[in-house]
Amino acid sequence: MQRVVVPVLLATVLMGTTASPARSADDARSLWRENRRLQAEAVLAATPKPYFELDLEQRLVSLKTRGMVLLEVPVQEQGIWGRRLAVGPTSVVRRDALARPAVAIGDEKNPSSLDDQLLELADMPATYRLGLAGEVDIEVLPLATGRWPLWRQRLSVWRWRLMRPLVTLRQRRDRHETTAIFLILKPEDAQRLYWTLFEGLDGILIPPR
Amino acid sequence: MATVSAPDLPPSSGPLPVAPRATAWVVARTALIVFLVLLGLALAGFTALLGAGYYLSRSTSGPAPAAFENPDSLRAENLKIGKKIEKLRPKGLFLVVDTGKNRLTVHDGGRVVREVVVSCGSGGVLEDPKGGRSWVFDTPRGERQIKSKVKHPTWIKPDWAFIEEGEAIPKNSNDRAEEGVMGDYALGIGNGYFLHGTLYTRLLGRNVTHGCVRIGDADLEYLYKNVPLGTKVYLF
Repeated sequence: MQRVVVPVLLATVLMGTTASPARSADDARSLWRENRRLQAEAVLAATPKPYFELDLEQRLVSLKTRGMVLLEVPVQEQGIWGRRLAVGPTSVVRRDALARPAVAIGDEKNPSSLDDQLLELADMPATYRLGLAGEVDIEVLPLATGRWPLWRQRLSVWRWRLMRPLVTLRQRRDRHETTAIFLILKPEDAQRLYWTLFEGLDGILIPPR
Repeated sequence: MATVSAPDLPPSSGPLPVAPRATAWVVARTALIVFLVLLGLALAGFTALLGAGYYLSRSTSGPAPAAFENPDSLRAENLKIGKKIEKLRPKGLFLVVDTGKNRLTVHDGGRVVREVVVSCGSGGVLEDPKGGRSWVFDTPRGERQIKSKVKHPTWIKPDWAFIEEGEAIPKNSNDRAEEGVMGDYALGIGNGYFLHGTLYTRLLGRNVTHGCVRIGDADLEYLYKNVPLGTKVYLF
């Protein structure tokens, strides 16, 4: 009996001693990341403007104001490559343009004539690019529905996963490294996000660990 | 000298029957080996490239600073900042306007007490045909507050309203006043923007306004009676 118990106890102690520093380092890292997020949020929440949080760890994009969540959009699939990022503040510096409709000098009493003069949520694109400060390029794609479109999307995601490292290596060689992110969202969520994330909006970027 | 005459040859003369099969087998085997080697090399190269690319270019969070050394102080600081943010969070009665979904929600004590269908800015651009002026009809986003409450408001039409209707801009300010188009009540949120009523209730839920938030009669009355001056309005 002793022959079995002693090695088991020894193994347990050994595992405990080796795992414990790793766990505490992990905890400390979590605390540090949380600290960075909170510090960034404290600055943004002190202003009257809304701000976004792109949380790639939790796979969630949210819009907040004064620390209150106004909107949450779950990310269906994501990828991130390129220059390493730290948790911290950012802002939307670029967004694919959308032509605004010209207001005709007409009569708003007739709703049918209004349709092509309005810019509504349904008119927002579901596929677009966003640029965040610090050379972070985001490609937003709508989640495909149906068997074949879904497979095509998976293939294009894999193509992206295969090609992107090469692009990154080339950028590293040219000493001009950027970060590329793709987000696949439900189509209506992608449109909501386009509506919400306008140029100049400040936010917080939380990369995965 | 021995000679073989033609009649001594076997009936089907020519190369031995085993030779072509052996040659074909050697060729096939070599081709298969070459193919497998090439496939192996391609797979190895592909895997190496993928692996190298993955580890070299995967973007994650950056390096941790020396702050790691004292997790207890970090924990305390996080708690402190968290409380600071908590204090900023809206409390009591406030309004939230979702300009995309055209919904206004009344929050009180941490819960939604009323949801209202509204109309927000159309996002359209009006160009002044006579001058270089232009207007973008967006509902402003951000934090505002109820600055004024008016019963039976009169709309003082701005220049764009005349341009949009193809009319000349009046010189006399009295000619700008128009009664009845803003409904029974108006709640001002600053910079000329109001939460007000509408004649076109069938358009509620759509983005049709010039930037103001249009509300149906019953909901507008509720807001007028229940939302005091100074109430925060969060538009997104």
